[in-house]
Amino acid sequence: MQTLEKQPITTFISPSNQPKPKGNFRLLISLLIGIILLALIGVVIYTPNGEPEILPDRKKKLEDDLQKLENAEQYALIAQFSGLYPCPSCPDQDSIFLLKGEIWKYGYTINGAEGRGYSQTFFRKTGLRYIVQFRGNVGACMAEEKIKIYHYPTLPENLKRQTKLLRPPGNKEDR
Amino acid sequence: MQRTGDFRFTDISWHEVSHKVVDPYTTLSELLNKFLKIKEYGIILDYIFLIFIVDTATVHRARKYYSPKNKYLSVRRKLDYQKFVQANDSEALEMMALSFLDVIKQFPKWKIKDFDWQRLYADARKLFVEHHFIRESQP
Repeated sequence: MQTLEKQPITTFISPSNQPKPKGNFRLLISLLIGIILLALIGVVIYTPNGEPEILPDRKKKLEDDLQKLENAEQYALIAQFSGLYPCPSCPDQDSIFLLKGEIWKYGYTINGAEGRGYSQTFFRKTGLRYIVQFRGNVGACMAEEKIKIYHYPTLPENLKRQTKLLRPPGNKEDR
Repeated sequence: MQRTGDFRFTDISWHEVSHKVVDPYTTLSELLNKFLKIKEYGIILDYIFLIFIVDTATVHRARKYYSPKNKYLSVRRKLDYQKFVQANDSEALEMMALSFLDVIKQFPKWKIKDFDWQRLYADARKLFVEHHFIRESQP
């Protein structure tokens, strides 16, 4: 115990001690190498032929993610009831009166309504329905969404309005 | 306008059947809200919110969320898509009515206590039978 108390403390805290930065530098390098090695061991496995491969669970996740991109959907949120709905796309008002069945928003998702952020609370509070209008790969769904947003001004429900909207009430942007 | 009733329904549906989905559950909720008051079965719930999923995609899953604090039960129920497509109007209504009754039957499993779910089940079932939404012989 006594030896431990005497020796290292004086050596370490002395400002005139020159090896200190060198020691810290070595420690830092060792730490970095350690982290890199740990990371490499943790994220790569090798086949019997010595080829590096990603981990099986990452491979599975990649397949699932790619599958999701193939199975996206383009949806419309429509008014379940005639009444007032929020209107982020309205130029001069916060809300708009929609008739039952009129479009509130177009969108696309690879994760379904819930994954897109439309929780049960959202539906409960808004009184909207979620209609899947198109299903395909994510690119095709994005295209469908855009086509529908851009063509929204020509829909009869919009044409009859005094102030016509450029986009559906819930689509603040073309996206 | 059923946004504020004790029994509130909506749907997630494929566009080819979406027109067929809204009328039956609107009929159901109007009937339930007209004749039943959820508070009479227990003060732990203010309302039941039910989302009917009529779509083949697996991404839309059945789910339930019960909030004792906010006093509501929110449930997503999947209906058999093929069966629904082939159903006529009264069969579609029957599917939804039975699905609603099945939700009530799950209360003990979901550990929703201090609520007379058996009486609500019986009253709702009686209403559905009286209005010919379901048949007397149906479970």
